[in-house]
Amino acid sequence: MPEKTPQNGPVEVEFTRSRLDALIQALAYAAIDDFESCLSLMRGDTEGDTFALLEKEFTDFLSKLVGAKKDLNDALVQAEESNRELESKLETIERQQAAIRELSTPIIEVWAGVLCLPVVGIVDSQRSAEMTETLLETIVAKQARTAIVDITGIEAMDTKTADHFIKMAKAVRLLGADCILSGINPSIAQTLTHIGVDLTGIRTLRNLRDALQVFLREQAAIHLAKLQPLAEGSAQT
Amino acid sequence: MRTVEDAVGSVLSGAISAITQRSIFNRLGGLARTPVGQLGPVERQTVLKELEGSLRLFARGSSAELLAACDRVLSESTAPAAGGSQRGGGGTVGTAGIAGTGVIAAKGINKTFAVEQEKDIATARLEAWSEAVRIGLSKFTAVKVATAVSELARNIVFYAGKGTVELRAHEDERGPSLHIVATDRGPGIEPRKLEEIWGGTYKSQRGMGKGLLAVKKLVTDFHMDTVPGKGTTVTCVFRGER
Amino acid sequence: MKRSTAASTGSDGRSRASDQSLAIIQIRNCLLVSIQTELHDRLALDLQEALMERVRTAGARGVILDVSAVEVIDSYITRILNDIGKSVRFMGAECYIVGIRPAVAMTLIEMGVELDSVHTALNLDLALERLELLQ
Repeated sequence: MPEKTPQNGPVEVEFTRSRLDALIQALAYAAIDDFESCLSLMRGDTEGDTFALLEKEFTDFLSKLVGAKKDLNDALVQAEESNRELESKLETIERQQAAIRELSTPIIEVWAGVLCLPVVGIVDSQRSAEMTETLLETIVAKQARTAIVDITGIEAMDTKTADHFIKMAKAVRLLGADCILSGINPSIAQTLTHIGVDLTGIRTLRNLRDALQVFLREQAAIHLAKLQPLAEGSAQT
Repeated sequence: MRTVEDAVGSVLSGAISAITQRSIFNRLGGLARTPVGQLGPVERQTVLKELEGSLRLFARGSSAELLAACDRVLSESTAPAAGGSQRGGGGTVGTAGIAGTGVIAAKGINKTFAVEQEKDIATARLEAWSEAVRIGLSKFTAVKVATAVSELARNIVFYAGKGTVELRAHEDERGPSLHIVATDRGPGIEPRKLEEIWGGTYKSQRGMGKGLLAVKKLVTDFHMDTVPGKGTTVTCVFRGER
Repeated sequence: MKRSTAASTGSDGRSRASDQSLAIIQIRNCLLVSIQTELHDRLALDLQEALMERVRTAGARGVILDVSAVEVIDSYITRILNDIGKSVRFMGAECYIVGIRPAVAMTLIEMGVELDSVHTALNLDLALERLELLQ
């Protein structure tokens, strides 16, 4: 029976026990995400009384909630799909990077026992480790006495990268080979000075051509020195 | 000590895409970087709640099972944890490790070697090298592993008399890694000596300081616990490059 | 070529087990040792003694250590090699290490460990060449 009630005063509402039970049961269903059962319970005929207000509000709210949850779910499923797509793209990129790395460390034997490693592009710690490994193995395999590491293709270096190159050169020298760093531009020269690196035993030259010229001149000098005693010998006879 | 991110990551690898994992950990913020051992019960619940929602929507495989596995891995202290399970279609989840000193998930078997005589150094070295190769570290890295183990084993033999070297293989989304734990109950190292060692100024008869500094420069992660009179534990990690 | 073994008689007069010996080979007036086994304390000291003695008696100008069979060189072995280098230099000769493996070289550099009392060469011939030039 409809009651006229003051807004803030106590209210007496009459309703059947079964309606209350239905509401409680519906709430229970909602709590475990079973919205179908919940809403079907609430769709029964309702009286137009005050309690019915509560029932109606509850049902409206639940319907909206179901709608919102479904929308959210759809959005999340879509997001997951794009995630999966992105991830497979990332895998492709990784594979391509590996292929690029393989192609990007060419070591050329420019002269008998003289290797040249032209370095271009981005040199991170992984790549510099790979380059060093390949260079060292090639030096041993070919018993190359000189390695020219040409960094003309590198514009700038941070201290970490410079450190990698210094380590590379030191490792070459440790094997017993000569290491020449060519193509150091002013900016890189500054970085090297800045980190106060000890370059003893590591020759640095302006470019690859200079490096090769120096090497050839030295070779000529050595040959000359070997011939000298013979020349003196024959002059005396 | 593993962080929440590491622990959960190893359980979820293969079941949830790397990007989704990343976004979960970003949402967790500092909690993701907290070591598992330092996680309070309330914080653990927060992490699990965050995981539950994402697992239900994104995981391949049973989200309830995954959540339970995460719960186990986050509740690990020094008690042995229950084993993990194989996930179809994705990566393999390793069995949770049993550790007296730390919580590290192992892929396969943990190997421990007693080190007492000089010949044990060579054994430990060879085993470490084999293990490194087995889990997929590059051959250059394997030599570094063997060298580090050689240093650590030598220190044990020379200074402590005896100790153990433990090798634990680990796998996560960043690739394979090898954890090395060298333990002894020797004289330990005094703080002042330690300072000199790290500063590179310590000179010893047998070169112990140089050895430790060398190991530190070689590994990806390095941690040392030493108590004068009680002993020393050195833990280090080598990570695979790919 | 003259052969002698290090560690065949120790300072206490007893001869050591033969599986511990390292052969020292003389080529021209250089001494060559090929390191095949683990260079631990005892063996290393014996080697050092034997080399110094041979340098003295043969008037050798160089000692060449071949480490191509050595898979791991840690800071301890480095110190042994440096010690041999220093003691040989003391006798007026120079020491060359040949055959360092790439992975070993890289590891040594990363560890910051220096082989500062010895020279290095790619192989025996080059070491002999350098030793000749030093004359």
